[in-house]
Amino acid sequence: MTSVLITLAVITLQTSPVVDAKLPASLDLTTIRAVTAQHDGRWPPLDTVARHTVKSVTGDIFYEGHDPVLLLLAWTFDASTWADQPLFRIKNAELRSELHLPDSLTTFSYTDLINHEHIHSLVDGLAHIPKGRKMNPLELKVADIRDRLTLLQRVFRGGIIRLIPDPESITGTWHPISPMAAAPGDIEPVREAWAALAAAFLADDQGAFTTASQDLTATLAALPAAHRPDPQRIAVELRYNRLRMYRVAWQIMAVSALLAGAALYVRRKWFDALVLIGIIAGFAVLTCGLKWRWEIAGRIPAANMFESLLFLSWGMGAFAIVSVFLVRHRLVLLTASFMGAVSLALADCLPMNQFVRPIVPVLMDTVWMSIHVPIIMVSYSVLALGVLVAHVQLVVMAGAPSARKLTGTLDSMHYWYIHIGTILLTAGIITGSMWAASSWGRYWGWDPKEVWSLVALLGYLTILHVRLDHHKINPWMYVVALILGVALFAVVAPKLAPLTTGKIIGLVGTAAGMVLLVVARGRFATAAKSILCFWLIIMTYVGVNYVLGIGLHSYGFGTGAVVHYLFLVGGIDLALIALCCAVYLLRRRPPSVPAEPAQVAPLT
Amino acid sequence: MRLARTRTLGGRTLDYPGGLRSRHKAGTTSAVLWRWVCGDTEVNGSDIMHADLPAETNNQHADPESDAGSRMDSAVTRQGTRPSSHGMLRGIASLWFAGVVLVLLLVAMACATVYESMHGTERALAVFYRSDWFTLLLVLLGVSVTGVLLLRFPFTKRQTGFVIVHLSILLILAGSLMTRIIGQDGQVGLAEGQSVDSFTVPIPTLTAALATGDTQSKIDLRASVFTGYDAVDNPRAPTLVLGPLQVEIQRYLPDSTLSEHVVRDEQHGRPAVEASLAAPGSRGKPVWVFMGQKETFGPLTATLRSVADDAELAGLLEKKPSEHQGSLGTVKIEHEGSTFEIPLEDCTDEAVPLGETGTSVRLIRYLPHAMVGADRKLTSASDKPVNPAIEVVLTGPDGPTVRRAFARFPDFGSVHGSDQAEAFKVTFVASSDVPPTAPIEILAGPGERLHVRFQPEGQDVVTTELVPGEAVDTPWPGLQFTVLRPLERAQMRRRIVPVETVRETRIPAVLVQMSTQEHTSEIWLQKYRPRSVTVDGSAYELVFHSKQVPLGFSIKLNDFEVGRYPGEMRPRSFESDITITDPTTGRSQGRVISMNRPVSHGGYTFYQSSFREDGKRMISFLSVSRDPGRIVVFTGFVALMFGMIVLLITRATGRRRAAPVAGRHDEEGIPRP
Repeated sequence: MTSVLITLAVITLQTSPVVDAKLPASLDLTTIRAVTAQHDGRWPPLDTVARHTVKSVTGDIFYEGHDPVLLLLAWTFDASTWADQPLFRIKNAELRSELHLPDSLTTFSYTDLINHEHIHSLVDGLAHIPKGRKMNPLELKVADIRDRLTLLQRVFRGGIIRLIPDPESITGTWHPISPMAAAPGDIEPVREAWAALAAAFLADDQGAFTTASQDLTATLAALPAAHRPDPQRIAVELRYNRLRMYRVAWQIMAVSALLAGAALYVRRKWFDALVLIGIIAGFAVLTCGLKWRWEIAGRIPAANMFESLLFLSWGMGAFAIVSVFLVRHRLVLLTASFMGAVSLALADCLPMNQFVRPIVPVLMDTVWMSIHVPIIMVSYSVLALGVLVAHVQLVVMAGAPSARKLTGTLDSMHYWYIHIGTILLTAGIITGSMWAASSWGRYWGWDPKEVWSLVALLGYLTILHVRLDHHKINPWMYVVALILGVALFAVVAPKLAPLTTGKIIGLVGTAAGMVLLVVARGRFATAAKSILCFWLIIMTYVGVNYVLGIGLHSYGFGTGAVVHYLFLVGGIDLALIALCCAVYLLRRRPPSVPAEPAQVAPLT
Repeated sequence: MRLARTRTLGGRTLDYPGGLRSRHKAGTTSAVLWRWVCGDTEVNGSDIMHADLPAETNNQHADPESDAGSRMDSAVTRQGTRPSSHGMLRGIASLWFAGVVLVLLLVAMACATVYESMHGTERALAVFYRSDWFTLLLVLLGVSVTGVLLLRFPFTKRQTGFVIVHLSILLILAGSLMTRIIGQDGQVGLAEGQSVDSFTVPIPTLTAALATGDTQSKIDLRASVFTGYDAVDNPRAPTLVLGPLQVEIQRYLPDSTLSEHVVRDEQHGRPAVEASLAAPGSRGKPVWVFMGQKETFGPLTATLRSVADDAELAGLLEKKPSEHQGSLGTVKIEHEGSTFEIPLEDCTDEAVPLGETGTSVRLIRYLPHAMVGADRKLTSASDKPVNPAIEVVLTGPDGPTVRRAFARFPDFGSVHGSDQAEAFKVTFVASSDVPPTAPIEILAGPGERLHVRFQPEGQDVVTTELVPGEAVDTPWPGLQFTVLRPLERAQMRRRIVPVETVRETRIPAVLVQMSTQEHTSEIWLQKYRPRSVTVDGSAYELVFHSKQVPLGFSIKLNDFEVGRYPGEMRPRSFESDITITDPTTGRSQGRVISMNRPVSHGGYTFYQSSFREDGKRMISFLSVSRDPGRIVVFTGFVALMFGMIVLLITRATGRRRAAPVAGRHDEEGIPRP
């Protein structure tokens, strides 16, 4: 079984290499890969520098299947050749025409772009954008191309590989090896080794290259340095780069998800055990990847979107492994492996910065980040599992009303998930509040992110409270609730003026959501509400940054592919809920009894 | 939940759905009312007490036929004893109503963030989060939680978790109320080397002081009105009393601007010309240059000088560079739109009159390294121009007043002055701070003739005769100088006008009426801009600003440092090195404040908030807070977490006992490994 997994992983990992005659083929890069450089506020091995640089310039770490170290060295030692190589891929035909680039080509060289007059004028135009105005999509693209060109220019000039340590200050800048640049200390031997390395590289001389890279390591080690990173850490980072743990982990989880799906039909204990082993394996690989990243960064990897997605997936694995022993249902494993694989695959495949980057001061030197972020991410994980169960429940209740037993199981599972998720979410908000108190001096500041986390929590609390109340509701209470709701809208709606069509649709949708949340009760409604509330979580997680952030300026929802996808997925989800509701309600209404005139709760 | 079918039984029972009603005859009106308010008298507490217990949930889970739709129907028809109506009070204390309140809060907050994205944080706070109706929603939440608790009293053992959770929510609400009422939250900005003993809180305050600086009086204003976004007529603020003076606020403007226009004024006017400096063919922004006042035209400055006769003119038109004075600096005095600049040396021995204002200025002393000592007296610590400052005396019709001005802190210190309703603003421009300029000197006279002297740095002087409306070339390439309109007697009029659409960085203003027994006058005050007024011969200073709260000790910023990532410009840390001096103990101690590392002293906690680079100096901003509510809230947090865990355990055990999930799904479950 394991061999099957490994084979599957290897097949997906391999990319078809494009043979490029200009790159030396025989060299042993092991030594040069491990040379320590200063890069992006850290001291990673050259391997990381190469990965980051090649990714930033070409958009792909393994550009055309080449080793990034090989590419970086080739760009450094043979700039004139590589300036004419097509390294910049511009796939979008619309963008190409806006940039006045030939439509027949999709890849362009450094020389093509740097000498392109229209791009030149567009880049110049960027400098005249008034302060405070956000860039429009075209300007963003132009700025991106400019940044990539500047970076490649720095590589060509030898400015990226900074190997010569600062002898005095730990925060001092390390210098690149360049005949022109001034550098502290006696760096002549280093320069000689570097020149020998370049010669061997260009000649594709395996023996000379190995000798030169060993010489370089030795001469660099002889230089005075205020700080050198632990060689152990460099080794961990090289291993971390090589193994790509997250990709392996999501692939294992995806296979487990397939097996878990099959387990519903196989119904054998040994098969279930197999699924469980698969999930534990994926979880272990992910945990190991997180641990290495923690060592490399010197802080908990919970500081940005990418790292939080890792924790999201980790939380699903952890929760599933614990709860499978408590709940003992095959769906636990299926949902956990499926959602875990999806979120990890999103982290791995979406265009997010996966490199260990410097973080802002407020995140530094605090224990709260290690407490708050994992808790909140695990709570999102559990709620995400809950929403998946809710979807299944919705479809089952609409499509197979006779499966009462399954519905009951799904319902109690769903209830558990959102109950535990809500407790974790509360804990997350509380720890966040305490962190805010220790950093900013206030435990609650009505920041949009804080507010939305509370909004989502209130949504889930509403589900729990309304669900728990099994009593018949005094009709007068509906009147009271209606008055309060109408009063709220009367107060709020004028404040949101001018009421555009979008806002009116939003308000009507909100009102419908309110009615659904409080009036509709019962299993089917609870599942629908849970899906609705998970959208509040998504809004907190990504929407506050993208949707509201954009709303602040006049560009509407035009920018940000994230928002487009969110709206697309949201629309599909809404359509699914609507379809299920329609089917469910139509089926429920007995044809013999006439429609009841005063039916208050349509979804019970 | 659907109304039961039995409601078709007719009569009064129509209003009381449920099977129970059909057996119940409504007797008197009072009985109906009682039922309407309190619900069915036969509904006993136990029923509600169990509302949140898992037993009920499990009953339904255990029911194999329990589809949500048929459940209630069968419950009503088959179990006739099941209560169906809560009544109003019970309704308000129901979990369902708690859900309603939660949803209302949820929607209000979601809309608030949309509003915030449109209008900014400060405004969202005022219009949503700190508004009365939002507070009312929170009160409603408190009422709902209290009701939910009260109606389940006395509690059973199984309700421990539920009680802890809801009590802790009340505790959190109470703690946040304490924070809002008695908590203090402010800011202090410190330049390196500067020391303060108070901090600013966002409470609007009106302060009046006698210009002599001896007595002052303050009133705090309601933040909801005086930081609001609506103009308010007659906001009914308390009257400020200072001796015979009574100050009343007539009007509040959320945003205001100073409108300036120049008028002819035969009585008090001074010579002025309107001029512009622009590239040929384009129209530059016209600027009025008044006699004795420096105006800027982009990178250049211009002055106006009146010439008495031809001889003086001939002398001035000679192409020799003007001499640079070896002055320590100049006293700059702004008054009614005029600026007077007097070299320190000129006013050292004798008073220099300020134009036709009837006031004169004389230098008392020059302090190259000014420091405020513990006795609040200003002394010079050394001869080096570290913090150059001056003390001058302004002598006007109302007598002399002493004024201080710091070259490095032009807006620092109290402004005391006296004249008819207008302030003299005294600033000190130390020579080392004067930027190299290439001045334009306009020469008016004799008669109606106009000339201009251009003195480009390091080049020869160029002089030209000017004709109003005609551009002349300047020695600066691509720039032409035009005099548009000369006025022999002109006056700058300033008016405060409301800004209709409130800007993001706004300047609120209040119109105040000052009255004594003899007479009454009105004056506009823009926020943070002090104005001096004379009423009945006494000079007062009025300012509309934020409240300053004394700390009871002083803090001094020794150093502010931005730590960087190795080899990068990206900041890694912000650190303020401060010294706290407490007069009660007489001890000084050095502390370091950084992000996530606050420092507490004397009940206040200081947090690193932000910083600003002001030339070479760094200014560090610290948040200051004293919040007795926080400990209450945090206790509530801990209790809430504890209660939620207890609740979960209670439910889990209850659920297992009633209908163990694992047991039910054995055939579908997976084995323990």
